[in-house]
Amino acid sequence: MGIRLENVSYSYNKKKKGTVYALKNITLSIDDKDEFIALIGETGSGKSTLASLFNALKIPSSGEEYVFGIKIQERRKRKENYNDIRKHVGLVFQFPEYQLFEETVLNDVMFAPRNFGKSKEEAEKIAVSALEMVHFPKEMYDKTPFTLSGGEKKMVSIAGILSMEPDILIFDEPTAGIDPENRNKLTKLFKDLNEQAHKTIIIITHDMNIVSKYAKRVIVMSEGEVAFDGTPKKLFESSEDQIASFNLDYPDSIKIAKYLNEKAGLNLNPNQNDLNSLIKEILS
Amino acid sequence: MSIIVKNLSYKYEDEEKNAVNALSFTIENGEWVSIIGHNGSGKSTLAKLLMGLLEKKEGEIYIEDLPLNENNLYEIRKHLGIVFQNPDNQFVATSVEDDIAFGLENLEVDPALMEGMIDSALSEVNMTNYKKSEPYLLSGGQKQRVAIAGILAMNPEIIILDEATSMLDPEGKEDFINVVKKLKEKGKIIIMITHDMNEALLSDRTIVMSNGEILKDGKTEEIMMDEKTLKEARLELPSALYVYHSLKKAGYNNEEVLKVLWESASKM
Repeated sequence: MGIRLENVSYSYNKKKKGTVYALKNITLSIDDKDEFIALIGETGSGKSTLASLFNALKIPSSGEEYVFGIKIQERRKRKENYNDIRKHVGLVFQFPEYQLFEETVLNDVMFAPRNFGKSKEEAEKIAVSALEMVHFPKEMYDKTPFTLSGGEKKMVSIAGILSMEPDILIFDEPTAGIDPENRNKLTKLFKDLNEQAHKTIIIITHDMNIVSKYAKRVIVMSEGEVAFDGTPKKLFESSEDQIASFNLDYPDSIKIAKYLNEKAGLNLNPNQNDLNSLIKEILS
Repeated sequence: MSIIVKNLSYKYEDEEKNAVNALSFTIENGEWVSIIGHNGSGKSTLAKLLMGLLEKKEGEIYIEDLPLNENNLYEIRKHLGIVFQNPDNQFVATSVEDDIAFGLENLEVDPALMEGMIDSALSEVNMTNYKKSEPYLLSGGQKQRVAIAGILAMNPEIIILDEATSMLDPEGKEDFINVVKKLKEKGKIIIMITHDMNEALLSDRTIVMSNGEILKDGKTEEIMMDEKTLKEARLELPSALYVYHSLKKAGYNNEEVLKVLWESASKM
C-alpha cells in the first residue's frame, strides 16, 4: 500500500505570473513499512510541498496520487474520509508551536487518540508511552505547552504524532534548533521506530551527517523535480559537480577524509558514513 | 558600542527556577560571540532580555552606557537587530520589499533612500528576484534570508542571531557566514546563539550556558578543546575535533595528520 505518486505536479495560480510550479512530474512510491528516507534538496526545491502531498494536506494539481489505497483529490470528488489517511501518515511540522493547542502537555498528546475514538484511560496510556519514547520528563506533563522551550515543544509535537500510531511518519527538519543530546535521542528514536516497530520514516533535513548515518534511501529534490532517488552511499559517490549542482553538502566524515587525503597525503576511503568509521579507517 | 550585563536574572511566571540566573559579562564592538548550550539552558531568554522583549527582573543591562529600561527601549532598539529561528514570526507586510521597508520606516529613513537600501540588502542574501514576492509563499530558508536582509538594511550596531541558520541549505549558510564576517569587519557586535558547533568555531569568543547559568566564557578555540565543559553542558565537540580527540585517546601519534585535522575543524 503506502504512498504512490504518478506524474504528479503541484502549482500555485498567481494573478501576475500565471502558473508557478512547485512540483513537476513526480513519480515515486513509498512502502508502508521499513523504509528510512531522507528527503533533501536546496531551499525552495519543493521538499515541504511534497511532504504535504504525502498526507493529503495538499492535493495534486495534475497526475495521480494514492495514499493507502485512497485517491487524493479535491474535496467535492472524494468518496472517503481523509481522517483515515492521517491515521496512517503522520506529519510533524518545522515549527511545532502551530501544532500545540491544549492546556497541558499530556492533554495535547492525548488529543489524537481521543479524536480517533479511544477512551480517556486508553488515550492517556498511549500518550504517556509516546511521551516516554521521546524522553519527555514526567514532572512536566502538566505544564502548558506555551511555556516550553523550542526544543521541548518539538518533542511534545513528535509525541503527539506518535500517539496517532501511524505507519508512516514524516518529520520536517526535526533536528533544527535541537541540542546535540536531544538530537542524538531523536535520531535513535527514529532508528528504533524504523528497525523495531517497522515504521517508515521520512525526514526532511539539511543535516548530511544524519543522512549518511541513518537513511536507507535518499530522494533529492531540485527545482521541483526528483533529481536523485537511491542510497546515500551512491549519492555521495557521485561527482563533486553533481553534489554542488544540487546545492548539497557532504557529511563531515567525508569532508574530513577528503581534507586529510589532500592536505596530509593520506589515502583514506572517503566514503565513511559516520565519524567512528572514519576514525577506524585512520587507525587501520 | 558595548553591551554590559550585570547580575541578570529572569524567572517566567509559574516557574520555580530562574530561566537565567546571575549572568554577568561585557561584549565590546567588533566581537563575534557564540552563545551555546542545551535546549532550555536560557540562551533564547537571554537574547529576548537583551532585546527588551522580556522585562528584566533583576540585574542591569547597559547598551553603550544607556541602561535598558522602558524609557530607553525605543532608542536602544535602533541599535539592535535580531533574526529568530522561525522567520514566520517576524513578517508584517505582504511583499518582501514592503517588509524590509517597514523596518526602515520605523527608523525614519528618508523614503528616497529606501529603494537602494532594500536592493542592496536583498542582493547580499541573493534574494533580488523575490523582491515583489509574498513572504508566505517563500520556503523556510528563503524567509530566513529575507529576515537577514531586513536586518542588513537597518544596519544596527548589534546583531543577535537566534539559531538563524538552522533552516538554511549549504549555499545559504555560506552566504550568511560571509555576511556576518563583513559585519564584524565593520565593527559590529555579533551575538550568535547556536547548536551548530562547527559554526560556533568561527566566532572569537564563546559563552557556554547550562541550566540558566554561564558555565564558561572564553576564547572559542580554548572552549572547543574543553571536552569536559562541553560534556557538562550536554554539548558535543565539533566533528573534526571529535576525530582528533578520539585518535589521540587511541594512541595515534602521527603529528602531521593531527595538525591537519586540527586545521580542518574551522573549514567544515
